[in-house]
Amino acid sequence: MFTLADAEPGETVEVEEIICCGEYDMRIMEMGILPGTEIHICSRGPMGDPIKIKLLNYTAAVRLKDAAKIIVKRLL
Amino acid sequence: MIEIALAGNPNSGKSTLFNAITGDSLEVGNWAGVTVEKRAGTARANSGITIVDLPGIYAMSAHSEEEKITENYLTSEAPPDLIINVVDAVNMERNLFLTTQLFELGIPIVIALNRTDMVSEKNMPDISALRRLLRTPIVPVSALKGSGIDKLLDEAAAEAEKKRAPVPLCRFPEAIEKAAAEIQGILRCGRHAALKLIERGLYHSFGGDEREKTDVDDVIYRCVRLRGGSVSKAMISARYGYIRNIMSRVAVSGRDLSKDTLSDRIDRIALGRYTAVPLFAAVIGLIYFISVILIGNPVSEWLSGEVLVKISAVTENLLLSLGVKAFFIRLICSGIISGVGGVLCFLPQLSVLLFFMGLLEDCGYMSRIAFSADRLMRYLGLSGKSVISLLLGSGCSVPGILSGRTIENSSERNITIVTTPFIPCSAKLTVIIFLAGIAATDFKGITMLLVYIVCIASVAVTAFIFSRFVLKNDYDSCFIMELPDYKLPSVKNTLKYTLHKIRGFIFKAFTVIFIACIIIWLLSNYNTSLKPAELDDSVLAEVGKIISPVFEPLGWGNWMMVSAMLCGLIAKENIIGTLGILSSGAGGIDIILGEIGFAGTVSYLIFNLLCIPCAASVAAMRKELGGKKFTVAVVYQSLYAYAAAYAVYHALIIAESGGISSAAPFMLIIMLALSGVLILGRALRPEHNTKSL
Repeated sequence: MFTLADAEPGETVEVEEIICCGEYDMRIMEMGILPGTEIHICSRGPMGDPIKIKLLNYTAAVRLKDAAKIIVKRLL
Repeated sequence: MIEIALAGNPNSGKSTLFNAITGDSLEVGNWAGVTVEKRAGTARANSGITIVDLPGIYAMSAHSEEEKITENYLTSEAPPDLIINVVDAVNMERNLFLTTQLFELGIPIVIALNRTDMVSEKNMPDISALRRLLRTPIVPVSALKGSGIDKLLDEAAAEAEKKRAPVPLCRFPEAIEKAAAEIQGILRCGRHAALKLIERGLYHSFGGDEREKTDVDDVIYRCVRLRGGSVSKAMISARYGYIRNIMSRVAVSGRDLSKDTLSDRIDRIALGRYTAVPLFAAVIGLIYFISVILIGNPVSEWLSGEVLVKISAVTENLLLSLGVKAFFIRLICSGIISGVGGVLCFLPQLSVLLFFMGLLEDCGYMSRIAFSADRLMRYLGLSGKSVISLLLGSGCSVPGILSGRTIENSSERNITIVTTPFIPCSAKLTVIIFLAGIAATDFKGITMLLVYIVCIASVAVTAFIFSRFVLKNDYDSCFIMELPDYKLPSVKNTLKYTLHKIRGFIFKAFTVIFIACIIIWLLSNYNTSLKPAELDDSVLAEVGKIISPVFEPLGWGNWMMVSAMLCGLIAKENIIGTLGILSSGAGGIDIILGEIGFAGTVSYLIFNLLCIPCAASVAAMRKELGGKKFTVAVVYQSLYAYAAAYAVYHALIIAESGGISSAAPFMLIIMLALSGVLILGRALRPEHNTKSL
């Protein structure tokens, strides 16, 4: 299973599925991360976590534990 | 009277628009979560319109405290007459998600398409097509430049007059639509309320009529079974599907996510592995260096050393020549002027400090600090966003405490609220400079640094202890934080905002501190039988002497110091005022501080910085934490301050008397105690539950 947490900085991926376990995880989808969304991984934080990503038309920080809930596939 | 609410995503420019409409100067900044309160004002152009600024939300499903304020207001029994939905033109797709939900509330809406000046010609959405598709008035505005405001207000007033709510255009899969219609029938509620119930699923039902409850639960259950999967996921997907459809018709698509923007290039240094921490230290260090050491110190010294003495002398002569009674002359010169004036002397450095802090908030660096620090902060039991609270707290604890609302996780939020007062605010900073300047003329800088290190370490230790033993993490939360693009800070806005805060400081000096100074002067010049008395027999001395033995172990059992500390509980600046008044009757502040020595002064400082904060912060803490947790926090802060001051005092005494070597056993005990806490804490590490993965 390849998730957003496994993707390397510089890669662009497409979201395939979100594993949501609670009401709180809905925030991920409300922010526009849902199947079909393209996400570019910009960089990792100074301590490796969180990661900086770009999607739609904005930049966001996501913790690795939340990124691990987002299954993605690499785009060429 | 028309009430209009501003609703939209965080950092979409609601507060800037509010300021442009009302001419007010609410705080604005370039990060998500600047506004944490609902605030109202009157439109400049039309006094019949009340504008309500709300905290930003991404969706009508609140995850944090400040988002709840917005959601509760919009769905309350007394909703606004109209919503101005602020949509960021740069980021329309995500902004329109909230729009689809606002359309279901049944409240008239006008869309303000903000930041249209930031969108290039070829990426400009087709506004007339958008208007046609959404069937709602859309006005392009630039809140920053103030363009389009009049047209927006006219449209809003006309639309509110018509009382016509927009048609909810986003449709959901058949089963959900059917369930929504049934629930609306049973409860006679609006579409938004019905959809909300379906989204939350069973068991979340409201209290009320038992039969209605069973009926609604029934409908939801059938809907969930029919859909065979997460209904809320399907609903979010349907909304975004609808938005993508609209976007394909109005906007030029084709963005390049991997394109390196200017913000990305700055981020490479600001968020770099080896550069992020040094840069942060340099920025904060530079701000304090410029405002406190370079500009503040010389000016304050000149003010308190020369100007204040002169003013006092001139006033005394003037009053003498006017034949005013000696009592009033003494009250004014040694009471009010030395008290209030002593506090006002710190105004210049405060202004400079607040100005730089304002620039920092405006440029977009705040959320980067939160981003870089998140990992470390989480280890301590805080969130990256806590750093923003702590930084705001270095100006004033109250906004720092309130900004904790943006933190989704309740345990992280509560610990942030408890620890924010430990960061010396600008009022406490004046006390530090005042006392450190007198007690340690030659090594003032190092003394101040030592005090700051103790305060920051206190935040870390407290967060660590609280997250493991007191406020344990009870549930999971999700952390996605927007990193807005950098922008050049507006000097004009920052100046306006600095003046706004300075006004508050001056107001406080002439009200709370003014009155406190008069009372303190009276208490220190009269005895318990209301007769004029020497300082040593005054009421204040009596009270101070009863309590002072408690603080003997901390090295400052002097009753004057104790009285000043007590007065500082109202506002910390009072410490300077009180010491000023008391010392003028006891031969000067140098003599009082000389008695307790350097170690005693530092211990006194530490205690005052860490113990219960000023009355305003205590009120904010109480409001945010609620009864029981608040009591725990205040008791903890007092005990912790006592322990920290005790440890620092004895460490300094030992270091003074026999050099570093003799302090070793003492240090060893502290180290052992700390590592004990660390080891125990590691075992109880509050990792968020990830078992479901």
